[in-house]
Formats: sequence, structure tokens, C-alpha cells
Amino acid sequence: MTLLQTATSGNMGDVTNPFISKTPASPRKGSTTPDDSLSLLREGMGRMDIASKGGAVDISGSAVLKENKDASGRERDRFVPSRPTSLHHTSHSSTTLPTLALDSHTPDTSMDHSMSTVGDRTTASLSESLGIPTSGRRILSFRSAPPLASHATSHLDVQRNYLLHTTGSSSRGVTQGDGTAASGVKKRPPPYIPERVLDAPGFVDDYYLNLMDWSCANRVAIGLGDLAYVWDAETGTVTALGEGSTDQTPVTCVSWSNDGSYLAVGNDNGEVEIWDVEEGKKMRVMGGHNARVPSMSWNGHVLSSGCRDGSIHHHDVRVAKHKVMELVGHNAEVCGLTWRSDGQFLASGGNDNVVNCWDGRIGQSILHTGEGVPRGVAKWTKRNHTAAVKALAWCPWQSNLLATGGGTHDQHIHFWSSTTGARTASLHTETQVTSLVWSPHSKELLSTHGFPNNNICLWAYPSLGKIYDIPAHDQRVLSSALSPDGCTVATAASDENLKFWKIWEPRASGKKGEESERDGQGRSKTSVMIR
Amino acid sequence: MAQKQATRTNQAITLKGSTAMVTEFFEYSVNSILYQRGVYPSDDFRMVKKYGIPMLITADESVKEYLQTILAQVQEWLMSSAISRLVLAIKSVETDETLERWQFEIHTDEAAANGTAPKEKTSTGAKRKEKTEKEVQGEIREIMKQITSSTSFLPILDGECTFTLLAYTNDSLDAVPATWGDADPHLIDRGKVEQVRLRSFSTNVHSLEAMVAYRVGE
Repeated sequence: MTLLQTATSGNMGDVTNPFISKTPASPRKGSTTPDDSLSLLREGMGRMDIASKGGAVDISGSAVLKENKDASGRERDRFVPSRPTSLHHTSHSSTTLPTLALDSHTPDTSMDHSMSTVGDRTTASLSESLGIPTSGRRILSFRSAPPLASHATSHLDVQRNYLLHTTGSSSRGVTQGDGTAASGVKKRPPPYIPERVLDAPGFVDDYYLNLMDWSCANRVAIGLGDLAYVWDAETGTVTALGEGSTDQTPVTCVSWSNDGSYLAVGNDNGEVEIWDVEEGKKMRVMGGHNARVPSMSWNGHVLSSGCRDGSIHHHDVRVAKHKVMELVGHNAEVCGLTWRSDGQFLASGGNDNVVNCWDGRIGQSILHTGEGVPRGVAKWTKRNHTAAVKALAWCPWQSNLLATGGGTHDQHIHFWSSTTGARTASLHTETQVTSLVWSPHSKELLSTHGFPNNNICLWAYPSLGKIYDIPAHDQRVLSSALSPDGCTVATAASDENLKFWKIWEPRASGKKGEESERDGQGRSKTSVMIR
Repeated sequence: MAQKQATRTNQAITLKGSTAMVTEFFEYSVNSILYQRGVYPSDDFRMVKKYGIPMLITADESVKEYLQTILAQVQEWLMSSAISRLVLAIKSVETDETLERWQFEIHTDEAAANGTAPKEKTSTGAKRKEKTEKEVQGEIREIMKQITSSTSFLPILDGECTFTLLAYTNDSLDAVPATWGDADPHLIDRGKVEQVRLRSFSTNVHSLEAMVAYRVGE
């Protein structure tokens, strides 16, 4: 410590240490003002003379742009542009770089002085070096404010800023495929009649709940009232989970695990139950939420649940302390929750009109120092929707593509790139969007809607042309689920019907051989299921 | 067709044509500034070819509509030579401070506007008559390139920003639409401002000078 002090005190260090360059020796241009470095940076952008500072030092060839911020020094500063002001005004055809005009001492002849009597006296300093003859002038502006920007959050903003300020502009930019809409869309006759209709008595007419799911083991789970029912599409048998129990808690959400053997049931009390469907037995009950659980999504052994209070919990269903992470980013009911199939991202939509995308990794961030359960922060947040976002779907054939649909006041489907957070396209549907299903076989998206047509729509992507539109139900369609073979879509509506629609053929166009073999399997499976 | 094109390029620019060009210039320059300065996210913009260079214009319907409404009024004022300056002020959402002020000074040649211009007898008149649409577009292109390149010296805008368009009009303006009102000039604080003059362009009727003033650090 003392050694260091002796080295730094005085100029002794310069002498003893030959590696320390002697700052005074380095050639400097002209003056000793702290602005020099800046002026050097801007060298060549113009030509000015400095008067009165440091004894009229001429640093010709370099432009001093910065006024001294030093309050005491400001009074003494005077920058005189080296060319006559008249030249400024008429230099139309100059082929040089932009000329720089300095303010605060150029004759201010404009009306802005009088204008500034409104209150802001300091604003009068903005130079009006154009020398417009003063006359009666009014400054008008359009009364309403411009629409708000929807910026992505956190690092994406940084990223965007970085891009904005490093690269030139024009090569980047999202080109949208509008105009081509509907041109490349092959219309085909819609399936006017559902393949099958099942009764769903007591199906709750609540937009925010997710009461239907279809497992990879070809079972459809549906929550009706206080119980979850499982309809086996292969055999047609129906089983009620927990029948005969005295529990009167309404079911708010059902979700199948990825292997199809467990069903997660969320209820009105904020509990999440895990059921073994083969055994028909409740495996465990996981609490933790303060309000009802309207949305859930599985990723392997992790079950994520969204709550009415806006929180999202990750539950590790294998361990006793099941709550492994909490995601904070919504301040209203989380009604849409979907893991991407590879488990890298979780998308959530809420009644606060926000779409969040979360990193799928679970665990403590190294920046997190607090106690307790790790908290996650959204990778990006989107506020483009103007109503609750329930419909969320990850594209199966373009992994970074997420489609989200908004409620009654929004009526839009937005398409996002999960990697950049960019909105790649938008679609206006003219009615609330209740759910979205991507086709695994073709580049198409199915959306279900509410009032007035209670229809299901099929869209081509990326052209966003409508392929067809089916008036599907008598009341709004609330949920949809895709069959394991990816051909049939089940829709549940508040008219207490569960309908099955054959939407897609399982073949990939233009491919044969192995594909067709698989097709056959797919078809046979469907037929079994439908029967 | 070719003949028609030829006649078109030879045609002198009238007040109406000039007004359309100036309005169009505003549309593209404002869009370009909003994009370059990150007032709206870059994914809200799409690329179009204009003035022989790729330009970015907003794809967001609400922003588009907002700008159209304003520019329609500006065009009207241009036709009646009532507007002398258009200013795009970029301000911070948080502090409401003006951070940048893009100023477009409009000079209207009254004689040309009224169609009473001396018929190419004076030397200046003869020179200006030669200006074709193509030449004007070339001048505009240069300004657009400058706007694009200005991001290299403009300070980085921290935080969310919004914008205001100010129209400096004549006092003689008889009817101001109800949707418009008197506004603060949105000047930048004394001692914190720097400004850069950009190129200018002129049609036979209007000449336009661009300038950007911006707020520098604390």
C-alpha cells in the first residue's frame, strides 16, 4: 500500500517506470481543452475556428462540436464558424460532408424566442440559424399522440440498439410477404360436417380455462364441472377420474404429459393434481398457487402451471419439493401456456394482453443471489395484443415460429420469431381467437373463434390466405386439440359439444415411398380413432 | 408508353406535383427516421424501393394511419403555401425531454406557386426550369442517404422514445382543423444541443432544407 502510494504520488513514477508513457510528451493538437479528444474524433467533419479559449488556438481541420459543459467556462466559450453564415444558407449543392452549425451565438432571429415565453426559457437557445424573417407564425401539432411502440424487453433492446448503431440500415429489415396473400392459396372444400360429435354436458363457458386435451396415447381429456373425464378414442370408453369423491372443486384445466400416461388437472383452489390414467388413481396433489390454475403445459418431468394471479410455476413432478421455479411477468390471469416441443422456450399469454417468452432452462441464475425458489424473467415481452391472449401455438416445422391470438377486442393473430422477438406477420380475423393449431403436415394454421360465427378457420402460412372457414359450433369454440396423427382436430365449445374435424390429410405433398407407407399407418389409425 | 414517359420527364413541375413530391419526401423521411432512431421496433418496418434506394416504411397499421392523417393535412397546407417548416421531434417517453429535432424548412416560391413565374427570361428562371423530376429525386436520395448515415454520429437514444410532428404555419391560416392545436416548439435545452445541417433539395416551387439538432450528454 505504501509502495503504491509512493509510486503514484508526484511524478516519480514516470521516471522509475520506463513503460509508463509520458503523457505530456505525446503530440497533441493545439489546445489543452478536455474537448480535444472529441474534436479529434470529429475531425474532418467541418472546419471551425475557436476563439478566446486557451488563447485562440487554431486547430484547423478539426471541428469542435462540443460546447464545454463546464458551467463556468460556458460564458467564455465562443465558437465562430469559419465560413460566413450566408454560405451556410445557400450551400445547397455542396458535395462535402454535412456542415456543422453551432448554436447559441449565431444570431437568433426566429420567433422561437417569443414562442418560448410559454415557460421554457432555456429552449430559446436552439439555434435557428436559417434566418427566416419573422412573421406571424403558429406551431401546430396533431393533438393525439402517436401509437405506442411495442419494444421487446431486456437484451433484445440492447441487441437492436447494437444493430441499429453498427450496421447501416437498409440491408436489414423485415420484408413481409403481403400482397402475395391469397394468391398461392389452394382453396379446398371444407369439412362441413364433423366426423364425430360428443356431448360435453356441463362444459364451462369460460374463455380463460383450458378444459380439453388430446394425448399421444389417443385419449381425449375434458374437464366437465368438478371432474375430469377421459374418452378413449380407440375404444370409445369414457372414464371419470375420481368419480364418487366428495370433492366439489371445479376443474379449470387439463393437460396430458408428453408420454400420454399422466393427466394433470388444475382446479379452482389452485391445486394441480397428477393422475395416472391407466390405474385411475391420483398420484399427487401439488399446491402453491393462491388462485385457480387455468393453464398448464408439460415439458418432460416438468409441469408448468399458470395461475389467475399471474404467476407461473414450474413443478418438478418427481421430487417432493415440486416447485422448482417461479416465472414473474404477468399481472393478470395466465390463460395460455405452451412449451415448445424441444423444451427450449415456454410461451405464455395473459389477461394483461401480454405475450411472454421464457427461457426453458430451469435453475438458479448466477446473477440471482436471493433465497428460495429461483425466479425467471421473460426473454421477451410483447404487448401488441389488445385483449387477453389465450391462443398460443409453436410451429412444429419452423421451431422459432410462435403464433398468438388475442381476444374479443384484439382479434389478431400475431406471428413471432422466438429467437429475435420480431413480429414477422399479423393477421386480422374479425373475431376473438380462442385457440390455434399448427398443422404438422402442411404449412397451415387452424384457428378457432367465438362470436359471431363460432367458426374454425384454416390459414395458409406464410401467405396468410384463408383456405376455408367452417361455422363449427352454435356458441363460441373454447378449446381445440390435435389428434396424435396430426389429422383431426377436436373442438370443444360452450354449446356443450365436443366435435371432431378431419382437417388434414397425413401425406406430405410430392413425396412417395416411405412416406406413403407412413400415410397408410396414419390413415388406419385415424379410422380406428374415428370409429 | 415510351413517348409518354419522355413527355413526362420533360414536364415542368407544377405546384401540385411539387406538393406531392414534398409530401412524399416527408412520408419517407419520417418513416426512415422512426426506423433509424428506433422509435418503433425494426420488425415493424418493411422494405420498399424508393428514390432508387431501399427505404423502410412502417408496416404497423396504426402508425401508418397516424402519419397519413398528418401528412394529408400537411399536403393541404403546402398547396396553400401556409406551412413554412415541419419538425419531427423525438422525445423520451419517460422524461418527456426532446432528444432530437429533425427540422425541414420549406421555402415556397410564391411566383412559381401562383403560376406567374417569369417565363425563363431571367437567368435563374431558365436554370430552374431545367429541373426534372428525376433530378429532384436524385437530390432527395442524397438526403435520405444522409438521414441513414446520421445514425453514426447521433447519440444513442436510451429508453423508449416517442415523436411529435410540428407544423410551423402562417398566422394567416384561417381554419385549423379541430384535431390540431398549438404546441410547444419542443426545443432542446440550451447548452446541450448540437446540430448538423443536412442536404437540401428543391423543386421549381418548393425548396427544402433539412437539419437535425440533438441533445448531447449531461
